[in-house]
Parts: sequence; C-alpha cells; structure tokens
Amino acid sequence: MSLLELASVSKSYHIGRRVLPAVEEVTLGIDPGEIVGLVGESGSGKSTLARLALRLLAPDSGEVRFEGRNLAGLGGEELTAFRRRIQIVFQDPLAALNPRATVRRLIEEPLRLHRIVPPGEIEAEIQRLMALAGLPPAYAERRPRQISGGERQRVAVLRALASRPEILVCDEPVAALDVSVRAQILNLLLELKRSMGLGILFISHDLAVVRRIADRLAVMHRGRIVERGPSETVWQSPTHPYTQALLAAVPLGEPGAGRRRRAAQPTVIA
Amino acid sequence: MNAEARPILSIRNLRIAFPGGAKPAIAVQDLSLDLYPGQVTALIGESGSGKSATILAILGLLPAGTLVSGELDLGDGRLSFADEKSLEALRGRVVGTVFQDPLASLNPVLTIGEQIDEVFQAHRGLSWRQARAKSVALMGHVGLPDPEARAKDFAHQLSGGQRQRAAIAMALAGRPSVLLADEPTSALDPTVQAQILDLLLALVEEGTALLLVTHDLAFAAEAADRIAVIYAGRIVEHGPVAAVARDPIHPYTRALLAASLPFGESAAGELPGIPGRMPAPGEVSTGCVFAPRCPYVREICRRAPPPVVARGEHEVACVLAADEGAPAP
Repeated sequence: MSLLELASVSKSYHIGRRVLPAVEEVTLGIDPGEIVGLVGESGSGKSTLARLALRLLAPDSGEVRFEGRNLAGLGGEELTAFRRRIQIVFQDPLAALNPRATVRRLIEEPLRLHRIVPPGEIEAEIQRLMALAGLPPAYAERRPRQISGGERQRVAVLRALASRPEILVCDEPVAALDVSVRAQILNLLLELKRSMGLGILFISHDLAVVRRIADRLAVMHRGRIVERGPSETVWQSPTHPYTQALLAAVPLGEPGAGRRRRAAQPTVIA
Repeated sequence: MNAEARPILSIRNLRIAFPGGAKPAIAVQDLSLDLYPGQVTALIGESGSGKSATILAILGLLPAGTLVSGELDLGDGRLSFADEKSLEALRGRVVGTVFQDPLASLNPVLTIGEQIDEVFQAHRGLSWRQARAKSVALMGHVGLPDPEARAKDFAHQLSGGQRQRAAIAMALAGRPSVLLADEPTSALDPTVQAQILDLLLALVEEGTALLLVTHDLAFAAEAADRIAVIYAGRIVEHGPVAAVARDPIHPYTRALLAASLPFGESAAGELPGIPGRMPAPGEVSTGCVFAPRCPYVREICRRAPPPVVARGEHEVACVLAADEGAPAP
C-alpha cells in the first residue's frame, strides 16, 4: 500500500451529449522518497490525473486513497489536514503566483494557514526555505515579475513546500523554463527527495526529462497507462508501440539525424 | 559547405536597441548571418537572447521607435534595416514566416482556405477561383489530409499539428525563397514535432533557405547545416553543425550542451545547469557578456569584448579560442 494511491480510477467529461473519457482505470501509487514520472502528450489525461490525486476532481469510479483512506469520504478538518500533506506546482509560475504579493507573503500564507510554525518563528522559517532553494534573502521583498523565470518557479516550489507536504505533484514544472535554468529546478526536486523524503509525482510530455529525474515512470496514452517500469528500463527497452514512438521523437542531437530520418523514410510532400 | 554556394540572404552588423531609460537598451549587437538555398541555419538562444527580435528586424516588424541599424543583402544589393518600406516589400514575397503558436498566427474568424487565398490574391493577383485551387494544392503539399474539406475549416477545428501545417502553407503561398521559423515545433507534442520538422526539411530539399530559431540545441543539431549560438544579443559561436554541436568551444555553448537532455548522460544525480542568469538588454557591460556566469572567466574578459577567433568556418567569440587548446569541458 502506497501513501498516495489511485486505484482503478476513471473520469469522463460531459460536453453536451458527448462523453469524453479522460482517465480510464488508472492505478498508480506514490511513496515518500520516490519520484514517479507520468509521461504523456496533450489530451492524454495526465493533468486530469493530477487533479484527481489532489481531490480537485472526484473520480466517476475507482478510489483515490491517502494513507489507505478514500479521499471521497474526507470532510472538514480531515480534508484541511489532507490538503496540507499534498501540494502542487504548475507549469507557469507567473500564472500560479499572485503578481502583487511579495515572495515573503507568498511563502508566509501557507505557513499561517496551516499553522506550521508559531507566529514568532515565521520570519526565520521564510529565510530557511529561501536558503534551501538558493534565493538571496533580499528577494523576500520582490514580486514575481521582478525575478527571473527560474527564480519564480523556485518560489512556487517553496510555497508548496512551506506547508511541509509529504507528496508534491508537479505538472510540467520545467516546460516553460530555459534549458540553463531547467537544471536548477530538477536539482532542487532531487535534493528535496533525498533530504526530506518528499514523494513526487512528476508530470511531463518530455520523456527525456522524466527519465533523468524519475525513479520509475508510467506512460499515459488516451487516458490509460500503456507502459510502466523503472525509468532506465523503459528508456532502454520500451515495449509498447506508443512509448517507442515517443522515444523515437526525442531529438538526440546527432548532427544530420533529421535528414537521415527523411532519407530512410521519405514521407509525403506531394 | 562548398565554396561557390552564395547566400540568398545576408545580415550584416545588425544592431537593435530599445529606447527608454538613461541610454537605449541594446537587444542585439553586431549580428551577421548568412542563409543559403537548400540549407538550414539554426539560431539558438534562450528567452531574452535577441533571437526573436532578429526575426522581427528582418520582417521590419519591430515596434515603432526601435533603433535598428545594419544591412540586409538579398543578392541584389543591400538594404538598410532602417528602411522599413523596403523591408515591407520583402514580407511574403521573399521571406515567409512560421511562428511558434499557429493559433495566434491564424485568423480565428476566417477559414484556413480564405487565409491562404488572400496571399495568392495579394501577391500574385489571382482571381478567387484560381487562388482557391492553388490553396488546396498547397495544403495537400504540406501534408494536410483532405485539403478541400480542410480549406473550409476554421483554425479551432484543426489539431495543433494540422494548424502548424496550415500556417506553413500560408507562409509558402508567396513562394518565398527564405523561410523564417521561430520555434516552429515548441508548442507541439513530441511526436508531432518530428512530423513538422520533417515537413520543413522537405521544403529545404526543394531549395528553400530555412532559418530555424529555437532554444533547443538537440533539436537544432538534428536539422541544421550551420548553427549560430546567440547569448544576450551577441552571436558567441557560429559554424558547421558538426563542429558546434560535437566540439563546441565557447563556454556558453558547452554549458548549454551539457544542460540539454539527453546530452547530459551521467545516468543519475545532479544535472549540470548554468548558475546565474542572462543579463537583460541595458545591463550589458563592456566586457564579454557571458563573463558573469563563465567558469573560465579571466580578468581580461570583464574589461574588453572577446576577440572573434576563426578556425576555418567555425567562429568563436572567446579568449579561450585564442589559446592553443581549449580546456577540457
């Protein structure tokens, strides 16, 4: 039994009379101290899965369990307690962070809301968290637009960490970042896994990124998990045709490879 | 590259500065670039490096008041970048453009066919009927299935990949000899990215000169014949793809290569990033723009702009390149 468990979970959206199945019979578990990667393209259902895991959506069938308890049955204080223990980081920190709040206030809010430390220790806790992510103390007075994209995403991670969660859900956390700062966020997540035993559900369309950061990964296609296993195993020897197609699409940076692919398989252009 | 190949478009000493503040903020400085028919030149840079400003300068689409200087040569004489009228005449006829987000570059209230028809009508003076026949043929050419029906669709009715194909068809309708593609696949799913790259390469095989602007070194390396790396408005390294992607010399290119996945193959553990951040236009100092983040920085780097050292066609703006052998990465 994992700390966070999705057991045979399904969710459909209804658009007029049409029914769009988004997630179909997905089973997935995440434990503290591990990074589970979820790979899929747009429309595969990965973001719906994230919302189900956070109880932002309720499944049509199946159960989402935390410590073995069905989330559907939680209410009141129990729900608040659950909300503290699982947090989310989104793709675009500029959209996720209040543009008018300073970094201090962004981190302070969850500390107060969940009474993580006594009021007298809040300032010290803010400084401790900022140091953890390598942000200089002076940044406490800045607003999201006054810092770089990589720094903003670190603030979003810190805000999620402030409530001392056991599970962090990251939905495309580096897709909007430049290559040179992407590593800063990935390294921070790896460090949090190691030092705090954080469990991370890492959602991305980028198989190469997921392979590097996740201990094990699951490939999602049209609402279903079509392949799963230790990251390196899936990367080295994918068995599902969709995973193979996904892997073949990863540019390996081999000079001339694009031209050679064309020569080997001269496709349409009528 | 064979020696007699002549560029179809040359940029010389492009400088772009935005007014405001105590002195103008320089976004691009002294940029020179050649595009050859049937070849792909990749311009690689991160956000804020000046790569998109360069494209807008070629198109004459920078905001009014921007200070632009330098020259553009299309084989029949030089044009000044300051001459907006001449640049306007180039758009569509000589230069076609494909942007990152096809939904933003397509008109939501016109059908795909109407938008391509317009180009044929404007640039070649065709009647509506002639234009539509050409549009449908072109849509088939770029791999849109059932083009006659797609021509009657609106942008929102197409998938992301189909939209980008439609945007490429629109760019091609003026029969440009040069295609500027600004992150043409970044908004698309991985499997669709490969298909769009394949289409662009097919057009290059037909003789189009492609400027591929991207942040993704791995993607560029697979497609390009030549790579230019731009950082804080300066081209720091430039040369044939094999040299730049396999044996980069400039510390920024090396760091970018190490940070690119799956280049960074050290199986697990810390990923190599680049500490610090790129200076914004206006923050740029007198020395080398990369000096504040460079692991090999020397005293001279902070004081004077780096020398441009050429090893054959491989050019590097760095004091390291002047050394006998550059230090191992």
